[in-house]
Amino acid sequence: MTSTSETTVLSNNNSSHRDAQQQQQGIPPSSTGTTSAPRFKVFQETFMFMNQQPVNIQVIDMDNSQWVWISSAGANPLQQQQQDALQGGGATAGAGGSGGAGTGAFGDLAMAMPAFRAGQTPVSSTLLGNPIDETAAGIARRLASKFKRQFLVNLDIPASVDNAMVLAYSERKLVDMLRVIAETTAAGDV
Amino acid sequence: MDTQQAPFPLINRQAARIIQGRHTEVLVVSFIDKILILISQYGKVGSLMHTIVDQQSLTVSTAAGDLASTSSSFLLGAGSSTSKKTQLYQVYASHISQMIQHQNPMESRSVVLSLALAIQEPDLDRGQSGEEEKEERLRDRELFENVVELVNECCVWM
Repeated sequence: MTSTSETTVLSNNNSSHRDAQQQQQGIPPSSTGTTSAPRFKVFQETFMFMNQQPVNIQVIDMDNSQWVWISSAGANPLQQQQQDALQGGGATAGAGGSGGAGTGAFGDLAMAMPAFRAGQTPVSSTLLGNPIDETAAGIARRLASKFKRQFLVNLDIPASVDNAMVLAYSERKLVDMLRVIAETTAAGDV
Repeated sequence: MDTQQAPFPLINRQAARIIQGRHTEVLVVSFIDKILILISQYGKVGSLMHTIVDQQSLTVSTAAGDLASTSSSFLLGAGSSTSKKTQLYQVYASHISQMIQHQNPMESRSVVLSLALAIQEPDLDRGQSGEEEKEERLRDRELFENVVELVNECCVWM
């Protein structure tokens, strides 16, 4: 398994927490409207499962919380058809043809919060999508447990026997990616 | 090296500005079937809402400029139905979806909106003077207009 990683950091604001606090306190209301540098950092990587199936992961890094999107094109053949149809029809309908429609699907959304006390399991919940499918919630819960912060997980890989290995691979790669992000952002904040 | 690697399947747009002394951030992510809009003054995800434009309300008149009807549901952080924040958030959600629909009548994706705004609940015990109420309304209005401008800076629907 080779991984083709292109880590793209779309925004990189290294203002320290101290600067942020000063900013909140000292700014007069008359400065409303002044452009400010975005602080959310977006990380994107594409991994190749078995050298042929791309797994796309996007991480939005926020204050002590992260929003993660995991998708694997071709993991759901029905969805692939839908995507192809939407892309093909999008040009004629004008719905985001060149205006900026992504091609990845939103998938299921789940959220997990770390436990208040050490030793307790984090709570997780499926917010959007099939409530019977606990896969996204499970991933969110494990991430919250490991990294001790709030996680929102968008999972665009349907749970099925065929996708079990892709799911396991994706989660492993995601954890690696999150570790690197944690190191990068920690170093940047000093 | 695979020179034919497809571009990353999501499109992101970001913008931020100072609003009433607070750093306010908007990040819009474009999916094929949804638009995710994160709006935060706290650097975190706040209340999450899912808003759908009622497709059956789209008629010749909505194409000409009338507002489409929307329905929102809270996914997270609903709050009490009488709280000012909850009611305001519902206004934000419906306005943003109607605005998107108006700017691109062909847009059919629903919106997942995260809102974390510094909105002060009025102190019902103390009551408010007319002057205070007016000021509060002006503040709310200013916040609303600036947030909507920020969202427009991150347009992924046209």
